[in-house]
Amino acid sequence: MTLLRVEGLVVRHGLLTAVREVDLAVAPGEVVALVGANGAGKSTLLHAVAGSLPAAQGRVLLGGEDVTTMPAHQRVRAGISLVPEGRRLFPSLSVLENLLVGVPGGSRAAGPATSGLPRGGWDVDRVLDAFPVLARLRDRPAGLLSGGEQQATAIGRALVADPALLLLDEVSLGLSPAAVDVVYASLEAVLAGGVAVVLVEQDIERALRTATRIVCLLEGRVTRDVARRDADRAEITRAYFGTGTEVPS
Amino acid sequence: MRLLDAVVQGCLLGGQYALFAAGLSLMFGVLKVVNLAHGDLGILAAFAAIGLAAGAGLPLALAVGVVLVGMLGIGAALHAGLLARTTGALPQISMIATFGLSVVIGNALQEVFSADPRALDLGWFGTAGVSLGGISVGLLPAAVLAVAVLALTGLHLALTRTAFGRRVRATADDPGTAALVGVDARRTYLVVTALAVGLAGLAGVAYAASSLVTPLAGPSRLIFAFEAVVIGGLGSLWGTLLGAMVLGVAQSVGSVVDPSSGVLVGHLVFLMVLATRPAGLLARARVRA
Ligand SMILES: Nc1ncnc2c1ncn2[C@@H]1O[C@H](COP(=O)(O)OP(=O)(O)OP(=O)(O)O)[C@@H](O)[C@H]1O
Ligand SMILES: [Mg+2]
Repeated sequence: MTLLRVEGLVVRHGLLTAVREVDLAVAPGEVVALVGANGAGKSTLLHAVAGSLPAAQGRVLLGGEDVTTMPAHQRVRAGISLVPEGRRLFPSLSVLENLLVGVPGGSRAAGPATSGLPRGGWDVDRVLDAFPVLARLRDRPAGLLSGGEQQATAIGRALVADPALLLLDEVSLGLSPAAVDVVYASLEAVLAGGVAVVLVEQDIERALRTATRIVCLLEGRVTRDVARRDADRAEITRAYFGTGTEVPS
Repeated sequence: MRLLDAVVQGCLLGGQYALFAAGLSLMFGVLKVVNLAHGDLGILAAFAAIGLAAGAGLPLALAVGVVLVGMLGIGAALHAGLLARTTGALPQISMIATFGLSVVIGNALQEVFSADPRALDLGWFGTAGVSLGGISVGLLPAAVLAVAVLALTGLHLALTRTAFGRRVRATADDPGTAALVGVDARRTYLVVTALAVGLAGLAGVAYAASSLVTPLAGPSRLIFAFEAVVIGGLGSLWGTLLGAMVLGVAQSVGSVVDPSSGVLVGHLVFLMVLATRPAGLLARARVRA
C-alpha cells in the first residue's frame, strides 16, 4: 500500500520552476531522507505536499485519494503535517498553546480513504512525555525558547495532529551539535511509532543513519531513489552536488 | 467634588469609547487588519436602527436585533468581498480600500437620511439617572459602560482561554504557518471581522441612544476608538478598556478646566502616552522568534 504518491509534480515560484516532474512514493512507516544542495527544491516539494504551495502540474495522492487541490489546513486533518524549515513557532503563544493550536478541532473532515490511514496515535499528553523539555517549559512564550527547545515545540505541534505522514524540513538548522543530538534522540520515539516520515537533512551521514530510503534532488528533479542498504555514501554525495553521471531512477 | 464628578462622567464617556474600540481592538490590535470604516459601520447601524424603529415602526428591541444580525453579515461580507482580496498585499491597500468604504457609507447615509442630527429614542430609560452621593449617573451611560466591560472581558477570555482564541492569535502571528497546523486562516479572519463589525454596530446603536448622531460622525468615532486601542496597547483587550477610560476622563476633566477644549485634552493625553510609552499602557510583551 502506498501512503503518499506524488506524480509528475511541478511547482513554481512565479517564473522559477523549483520542482520539475517529481515522482515519489512513500509507504506507511517508511522514513525517507530527502537530500540535495541549497536551492534544490526540497522545501518547495514538502510545501507542495503539505498544500501551502500549489501544484502547477501533476498530482498528490494520500492513501489513494487525490488531495492536489485540498487546502493546507484540510490536509493536516487528512494526515499530512509539516515541520517547516526555521520552525516558525507562534511567538506570542506559550509552548503549550503552540501544541494546542495543532490539535484538530471537531472530527476528521477528509474522505474515507484517509480516515483509515495508519497513524502513530499522538496527542498532547504523549508529546509532553516524549519531549520532557516541553513539559517543563509549557507556559513559556515560544519566542523566548532556545533553538533546540523551539525545534522540539515545532515537532510536537505537528505531532499532536496525529499525522500519518510527517514532513520534517531541516530540523537541525541553526542548532548546536548537542541540540541536534537531543532532537534526533527524541525523534526516535516518533520514527518507531509507525508514522511515515519524509525528512530533509543536510548532513548525509545522519540521513543515512536515520532513513530507510534516500531520495536525491538536484535542481528540482529526483536523481537517485535508493533503499539505505543499497546507498553508497560517495554516490549519494555525487548526486547531491550534481557531479558525475546521473541515472534518473 | 466637581473633579470627582468629571472623573465619573469621564468613565461613563469612556464606556462609549470602549464599546467602539472593542471591535477595533480585535481587528487592528490583535489581527493587525486595518479597517478605516469601523466608525462609519457603527453609524450605519445607528441609522439603520433609527430607520427601522422610528421610520418603519418596528419595536425597538426587534429593530436593534435585526440591525446587529445584519452587521454580523456585513462584517462577513466585508471580509469576503474586500479584505480577503487585500491580505498578503501591502497594508496600505486595505487602508485605501476601507477609507473608500468609509467615504461611501458616510455620503450614502447623508443622501438617505439628510445631514440632520438624529437620535434613537429609548423612552424614559434614555434620560433616567440616579444620584450617588451628589453625583448624577445616567442609567443609559452606566448600561453602556457595563456592556463595554462585558464585551471586552468576553473577548479577553475568548482570546486567552479558548481554542478559537488560540487560532486567532496564531493566525495573527503567522497565517501561513497557522494553515500548516490545521487552522483555517480565512475562516478565522472572517469570523473576527464579522464579530468586530457586529460590535461596531452595537457601539453605533449605543451612541445614537445616548446622543445626537449625524451621518458623517463615523471618522471621529474611529479616531477615539483608535486612540483607546493605542493608549492601552495593541493586542490587549484590558488595555483597550483602560485606554478608553483614560481618554474619556481626560476629555471630561479637560472640559471642566475649559469647556471648549475637552476633546483637545484627550488628544494631548494620547500623544503623551505615545511619546512616553509607545507600546501602550498594558502592552503585551511581544517577542519575535
Ligand atoms: N518564496 C519564494 N519565492 C521565489 N523563489 C523561491 C521561493 N522559495 C524558494 N525559491 C527558489 O526556489 C528554489 C528551490 O528553493 P527551496 O527552498 O525549495 O530549496 P531547498 O532545497 O529547500 O534549499 P535549502 O537547502 O536552502 O533550504 C530556489 O532556487 C529558491 O531560490
Ligand atoms: Mg529548504
